[in-house]
Amino acid sequence: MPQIFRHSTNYLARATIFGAIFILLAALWVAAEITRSGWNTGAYIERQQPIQFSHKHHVGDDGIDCRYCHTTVETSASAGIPATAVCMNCHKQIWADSPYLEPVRASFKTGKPLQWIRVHDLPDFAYFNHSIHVAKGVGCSTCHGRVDQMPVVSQTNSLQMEWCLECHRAPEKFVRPREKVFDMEWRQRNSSKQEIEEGQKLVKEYRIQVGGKNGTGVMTSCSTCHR
Amino acid sequence: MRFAGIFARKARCSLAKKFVGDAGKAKPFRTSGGKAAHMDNDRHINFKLLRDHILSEPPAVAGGQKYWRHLDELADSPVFEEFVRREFPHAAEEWNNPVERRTFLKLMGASLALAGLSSCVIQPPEKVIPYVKQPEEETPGQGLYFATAFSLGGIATPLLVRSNEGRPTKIEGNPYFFASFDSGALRSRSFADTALSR
Ligand code: HEC
Ligand code: HEC
Ligand code: HEC
Ligand code: HEC
Ligand code: HEC
Repeated sequence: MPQIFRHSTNYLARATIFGAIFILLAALWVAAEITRSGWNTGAYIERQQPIQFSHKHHVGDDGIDCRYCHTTVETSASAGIPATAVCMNCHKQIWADSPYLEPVRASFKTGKPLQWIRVHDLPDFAYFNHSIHVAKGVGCSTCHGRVDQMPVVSQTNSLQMEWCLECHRAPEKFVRPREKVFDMEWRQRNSSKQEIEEGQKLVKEYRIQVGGKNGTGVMTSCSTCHR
Repeated sequence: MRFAGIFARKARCSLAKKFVGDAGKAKPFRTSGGKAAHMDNDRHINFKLLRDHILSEPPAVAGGQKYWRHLDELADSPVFEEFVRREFPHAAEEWNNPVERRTFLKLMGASLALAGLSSCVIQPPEKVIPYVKQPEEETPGQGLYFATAFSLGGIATPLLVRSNEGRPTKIEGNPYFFASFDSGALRSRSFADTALSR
């Protein structure tokens, strides 16, 4: 009886075993990439807002401070979205009859609030607080990117736990002097010795509770963010 | 040895019944069908006999009701001894039953897979709705406390109310009021709960 399979098929069978391992690893890698991609995290996705509000105009061109609109960013967990009345402070006078501002005027007249679509949205099981980050010298642009150049705000970071921890484990790379918190141009420290030392000085000055070498400590404890 | 045991059991579940049992080449240890019947009976007997046994205790006699302090005392009978020995008769049997064990695995597999799926859902877009005119004393995201009072049987009970974005989220007795120092605080707290739930 002739053999169905040649002898060389054995090598193929053996190669398949290793091939299977590679395919498995590749599948894992693809899965990991997908969870980190913008498709999953919502990064760089522009949301259709009820009004074409542009940070580029208001912050970049007109130089309005973040706190004029996001009033509670230094005192509360939430940065706050400005009330209709805040827009009307200016838009009663300027661009008072722009068609783009019709929803704002309608809201002011009827008392019905504007309904913005959330761009940054942590799941409800994670706790986040703006006030402590601002107080300890973490700037808006570190987390939100160059908002002053965005006609439409989009998320520039994944906001995944991995990302939070990257900073919580080594805040010296990211903290800046307090007066620079609202500065959109501040660039992240590079890893040169001098810049890291500057950062470490600030970490000490702000008494940031970085953990020990093995990651114990408030900033990396699960119950800090999952409470 | 352990492996041998597992294979033997496996054989008993599937192969034994299909090939070996039917062909009669070798006798399986026990056939599944017979096992199941026996088990059903067993379950019944256990509980029924036990209940009958307890209920058939003679009621109050001259010496008064017969009490028992622990199970050993009550267990002074072969029926109960048998029951205690096989503490979980159902479960003990079910793992050997090929049909039920497989359905169990199938169901668990399916529910695990589905539970995994539920975490793959991307959150739907949420709205963020600011005030039209923000009240001056309000900080969104932070509670605002009011000292107020609640009329209870015509008497004002001092309360401390926390409000988040205009909704009352916690009502308690005002701890700074002298009369609500200890029990008063608790009392008004519990009454406040009733007030909230109304
Ligand atoms: C003139 C008022 C105004 C100023 C000034 C302003 N913002 Fe905003 N901001 C808004 C409004 C209104 C929204 C909601 C609409 C949107 O998402 O585009 C918003 C949304 C945002 C969001 C997205 C919020 C979300 O839904 O997740 C971020 C981040 C943000 N602003 C950051 C900043 C930063 C950083 C600055 C300062 C550089 C700043 N804003 C200055 C009015 C303002
Ligand atoms: C500090 C004053 C100020 C505040 C507060 C302000 N704006 Fe403006 N807004 C301006 C100025 C100035 C312009 C013109 C910008 C430009 O063209 O460079 C403008 C332009 C706009 C435009 C474009 C109008 C058009 O016809 O092109 C929109 C839309 C707008 N603002 C929405 C808002 C909304 C919504 C708010 C409240 C969250 C707001 N603005 C708050 C000053 C303000
Ligand atoms: C440490 C990172 C970090 C820094 C620094 C930071 N933010 Fe945020 N911001 C977030 C996260 C995370 C969210 C989403 C919060 C949520 O979903 O609950 C958010 C949400 C917002 C929102 C939407 C409204 C809200 O509070 O949920 C605004 C507006 C905002 N940030 C503005 C700012 C401004 C202005 C600054 C600078 C003063 C700033 N943020 C600094 C991480 C940061
Ligand atoms: C760029 C740096 C940075 C990033 C990114 C960052 N944090 Fe922080 N976070 C800090 C610093 C610095 C502190 C101050 C810690 C201290 O005071 O000991 C802090 C403190 C906190 C605290 C309060 C800890 C306490 O002591 O009560 C919470 C909660 C928190 N962060 C949550 C988050 C979450 C959730 C994220 C991700 C969405 C995040 N942080 C991203 C730098 C960061
Ligand atoms: C700095 C804040 C922070 C700390 C510390 C932290 N987490 Fe998280 N965790 C988050 C955030 C933010 C998310 C939401 C991530 C997302 O949106 O995908 C999260 C998500 C998770 C999830 C769900 C993951 C998913 O994809 O659904 C688990 C599980 C979890 N964390 C466990 C832990 C454990 C265990 C620890 C302690 C070792 C811990 N976390 C410490 C911020 C934190």
